[in-house]
Amino acid sequence: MPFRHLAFIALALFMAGCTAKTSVRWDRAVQDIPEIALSVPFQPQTEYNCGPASLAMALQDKGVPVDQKDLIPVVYTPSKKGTFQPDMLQGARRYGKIPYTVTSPDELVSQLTEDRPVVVFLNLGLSWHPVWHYAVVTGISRRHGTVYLHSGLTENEPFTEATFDHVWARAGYWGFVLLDPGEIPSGADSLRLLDSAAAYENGRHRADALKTYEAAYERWQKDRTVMFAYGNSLYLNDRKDESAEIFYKLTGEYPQEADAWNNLAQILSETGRKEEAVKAAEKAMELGGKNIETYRQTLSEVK
Amino acid sequence: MRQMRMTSPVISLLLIMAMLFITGPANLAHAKMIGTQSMVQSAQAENARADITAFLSREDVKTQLVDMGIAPDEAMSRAQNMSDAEAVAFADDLKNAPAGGSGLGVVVGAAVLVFLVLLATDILGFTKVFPFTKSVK
Repeated sequence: MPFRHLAFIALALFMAGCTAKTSVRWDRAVQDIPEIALSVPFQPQTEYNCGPASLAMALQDKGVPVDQKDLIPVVYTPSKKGTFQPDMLQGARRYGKIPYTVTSPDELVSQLTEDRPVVVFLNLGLSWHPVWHYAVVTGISRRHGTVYLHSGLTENEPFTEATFDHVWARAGYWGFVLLDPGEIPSGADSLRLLDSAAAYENGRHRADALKTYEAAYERWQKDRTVMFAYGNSLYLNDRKDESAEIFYKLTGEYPQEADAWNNLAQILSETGRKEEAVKAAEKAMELGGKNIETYRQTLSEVK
Repeated sequence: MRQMRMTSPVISLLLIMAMLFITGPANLAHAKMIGTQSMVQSAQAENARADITAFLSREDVKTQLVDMGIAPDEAMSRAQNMSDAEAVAFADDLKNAPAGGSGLGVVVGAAVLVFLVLLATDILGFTKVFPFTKSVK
């Protein structure tokens, strides 16, 4: 048998046995889900601008009128001919939305189920020859075994589930959705949300960030970090009495939380409740910890 | 960065002053309040140095973005709108961090072997580099 026949047979056998399969994680995430097809504004990317284009589509979906060319100076790094992941997140914040990262097929599915398109980071190539890409997941059809993405020049481009699973896994299953202030996905992780909201708050969105903290407090009444963030945010928005109330509640539930005693002392002192302030500051000093220098200053100032 | 961490207190002081600047108006430091990011960080990882690390990282991100050709004001805005955790992770491997920018003709310059491998993996459904391939099921 000539060599080329052998080679052909070998190749056929190889292909038959080795086509891409979905991972167990993927299969578990997509079982029993309905057909999902979101209608998301589409914008074809220009050369190297899959990042700005994907972010523009996600922002437009949230009602922000923005074009990819507006986002290029905000997120793109010309010398890298690409867009870094943290730049996508900070870019979203600067346009008034709070990005919440998605880190698994499970989370992807749950976000899509709640009508949020997911911006995903993909490696379309191989680990040793990466082709990094951003796209927006707009739907999944179990019936067709297909994931749909606004990708590159193509609207709702079908990827087989297996291919999508592979190229997304190769980029670490990283993606994000955009939230309005006060919006919290079901099943959200409180710390991941607070981290993003705090960056949003620092980026001059004080009043809007408060809406998210308020909603978080409603969702996670007893979470000390949530209470802390909510109390700080109330303070920053000049609602000091309510802030003091939250910090009283926090120190009541978690009396070992020295940082909370310190902040309580500061707020009380600013609202003219000197006696209580001194007590709270002393409590912080007594507990000590990494921020003890700050507690010492607080105590000397409130006295 | 490594060098900077070991240099004199003068530099630390300068950095601290810069920090007051970079964190802008929503700043609790002037009031002796412990900030939210610091709390979130310590809840995520019990790390007493989290604050300073985050601050140095943010400076690092800014500097490196400037090195990559981003205008200083814009680099500052970018760093400012990242969370502590994001800035720390980013600064740690900015040199190797992937930047998504799949061009429309990314593989044009690739060697023939790479082209063939990617063609095969595309057909098998492991990769999705070429617009003209349809993976077999």
